[in-house]
Amino acid sequence: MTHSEMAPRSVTSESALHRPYLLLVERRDITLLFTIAIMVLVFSRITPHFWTAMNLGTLGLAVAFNGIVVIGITLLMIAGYNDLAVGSTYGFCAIAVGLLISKGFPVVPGILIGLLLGAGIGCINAFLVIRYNLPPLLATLGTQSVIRGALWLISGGHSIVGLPDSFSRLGQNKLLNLQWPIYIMLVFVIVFDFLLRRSTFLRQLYYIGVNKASARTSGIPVARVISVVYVITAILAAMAGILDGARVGAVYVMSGTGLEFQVITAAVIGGTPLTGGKGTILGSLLGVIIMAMLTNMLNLVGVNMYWQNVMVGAILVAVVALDRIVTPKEVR
Amino acid sequence: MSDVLLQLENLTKRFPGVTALDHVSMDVRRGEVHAVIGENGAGKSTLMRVLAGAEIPNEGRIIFEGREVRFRSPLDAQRAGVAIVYQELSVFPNLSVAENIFANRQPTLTDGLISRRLLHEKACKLMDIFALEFEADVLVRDLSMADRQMVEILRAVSLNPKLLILDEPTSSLTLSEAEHLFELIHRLRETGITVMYVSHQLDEVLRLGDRITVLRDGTYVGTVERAEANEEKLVQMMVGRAVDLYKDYGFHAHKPEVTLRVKGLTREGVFSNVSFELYKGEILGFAGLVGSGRTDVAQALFGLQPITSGEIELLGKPYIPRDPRDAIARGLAYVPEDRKTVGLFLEMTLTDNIIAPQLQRFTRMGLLDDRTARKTTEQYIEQVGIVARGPKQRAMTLSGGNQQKLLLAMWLASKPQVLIVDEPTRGIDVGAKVEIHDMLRHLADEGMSIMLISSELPEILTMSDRIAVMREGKLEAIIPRQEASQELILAIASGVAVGEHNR
Repeated sequence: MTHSEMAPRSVTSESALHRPYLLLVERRDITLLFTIAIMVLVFSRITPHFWTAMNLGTLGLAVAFNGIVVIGITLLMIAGYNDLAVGSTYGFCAIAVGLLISKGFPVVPGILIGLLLGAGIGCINAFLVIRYNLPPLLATLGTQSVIRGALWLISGGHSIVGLPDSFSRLGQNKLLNLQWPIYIMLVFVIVFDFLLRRSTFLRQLYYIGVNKASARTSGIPVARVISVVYVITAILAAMAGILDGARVGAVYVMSGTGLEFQVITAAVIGGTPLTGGKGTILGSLLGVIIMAMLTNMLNLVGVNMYWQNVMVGAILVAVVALDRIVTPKEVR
Repeated sequence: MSDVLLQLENLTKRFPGVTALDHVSMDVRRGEVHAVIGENGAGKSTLMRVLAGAEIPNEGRIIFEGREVRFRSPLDAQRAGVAIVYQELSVFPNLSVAENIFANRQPTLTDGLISRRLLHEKACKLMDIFALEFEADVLVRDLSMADRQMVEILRAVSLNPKLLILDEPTSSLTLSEAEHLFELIHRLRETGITVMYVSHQLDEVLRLGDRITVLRDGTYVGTVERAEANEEKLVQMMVGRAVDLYKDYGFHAHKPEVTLRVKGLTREGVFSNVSFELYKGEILGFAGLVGSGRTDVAQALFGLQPITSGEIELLGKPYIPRDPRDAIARGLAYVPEDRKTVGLFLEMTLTDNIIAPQLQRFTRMGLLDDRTARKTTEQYIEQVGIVARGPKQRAMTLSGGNQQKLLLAMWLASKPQVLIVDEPTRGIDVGAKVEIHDMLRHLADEGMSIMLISSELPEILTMSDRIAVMREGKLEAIIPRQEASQELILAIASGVAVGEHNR
């Protein structure tokens, strides 16, 4: 017997791996798909209006915008960072584009300017968090408020309605009975899910999230990676906001309000903890779908907004608590 | 009154899948310092947790002061007179020393309010006994690690325990801080408290223990009186076979080429005017007390700390450290001392860890080449001798020694020409230690230049071809292996002797 055979006496790990439910902890996506299937079954039982082509279209659209925003948030959260300004970025860039287009500015350059504004906001967030080393939650809580204020200033508090067809077509055109934003979202989800699994650049996020000091010692360019991801996150938020405006043909001043909490909740449900280190885009999308189905269901049966808030909050707490209970310490 | 304070009979503790303690029987005499030693995973900590009421044994009896006791909770044990100081400190940094010592037991006046005056007096009285050098009203966050440890011990002592358990108390202390702790333990013994001292450091145990008990693999191996004990005997008991703990590797002639030339390296306030040359195939040991600047110099070379001035030549080219990425690309590797906080990615797989320092090498068109990564990992698991189920196992499930080997593998895989290792064998078991020593020597013989930072003098003395001694940020001397001795190095490191800068 060599010393090494008797050295590892970790009391927990080996035995833990024989507990079958751990597979579900490790394969979060399967658990989530299963949950969604059960929800579909139960919901269609409760009301006949749930499983209809029209409602599924509505549901798809609801998932589309949050599904785009959740991509960036997930990337940041995996690395242990966060962005509370995605909601105001969403609204601000949409309002800016709406203003330009309603003043007769051509559509495509208008949208590009909106995306550039998003990129600019991402740069500011990255600057505050990386250069000044501010805690991400605080820094982006600040920019959230600043951007929301700027939105009210440039819009004068008025929503922008009656945008031209050339713009609203982007959000309203259909393919196989589903609006374009759904496909756009799917493309981005698939691309980013693939890149997060396979590309060296995005895989570095896991290293940073698991142990930032080790990442630095290993030569992973933490500042650069995080900065780029802040910019990606803001651009995605801007894009989702603009598409949302196109879908309605109007941009409301309240657009994107509270969105940051919806997507963070979805990401957490999808398996990305606030402390980072793990998570997938697919998981987050499933989280968005679960949240959207829930809201949709509550709307269908006529539960009012206030109760919906109560329930969404309760579910978030329940999911996090459940995670704590079923995940053994050493896998956490 | 019998002279046996504590007697254990067939104590057994099972966890799912593992028997952590297997019918352990031993006794502790009143008033002695009883050292308990064993490799990582030998069951030392479990035993202590059982004694402190933090774990409930499955079988066996604990006889304390002549009667059988069953501790159901830490509070039970505390009431019976057993106090424990765990390895991880649990002091409150933002409270004063006195508040920490009497946390949750602050003396109160009749109105139920805490009396600051009484609190201060009680703390001072206790601190006087142990002649501590800090005041009772300073905040704990302003204390050194060693002093925090003292506060932690005083907190346990203030419970008036009959048995005080110290679990690896020196693991976060420097050499001189540990000295301080040893004095405190001597005073504890003088006051009549029985101490159980858990450690895996042979020298400490031999110094402090009146008797020494060895555990291996959850079983009791034996107890020896200090007079009969020596390092070889203890190691043999711990490992179960004879191990040559510090093999003398002898002097190895290095190649004539200089791989790393450092001239006048300075970081204002941290280290100054550090100059040395490292040859191809050489192991240059860096001795000195913790805080003497060895780690800082290493980190500066690797781009983890800024430098104020100085010139560096790496593999014949001028080199200005920028960041670790650049350093790695130029053939430098730095194996940090703390594998858990700045070394490994514990929650990730072995493959993830091994490829971390050189992700670019495993990238094809922006995508990570998982197959090559896995192959490389398998190769290094084999080469470094990591005991693991496979490349997909998570680092955290490895034992300490295997984690340390993984850390080495991670940096060897980056194929460095100059390797800096910082405390490469701290806190790992004896067998793994010998393997790592062999590996380092072998790498040097193959032409790698190694900067070996270690606080263990025997390690430095047996491994190095030359020994650099640092003190207070200055490189005091570089001593050839043949002239080096433990006494000389300690004398220079602590400033008793002035080192001549001979080469």
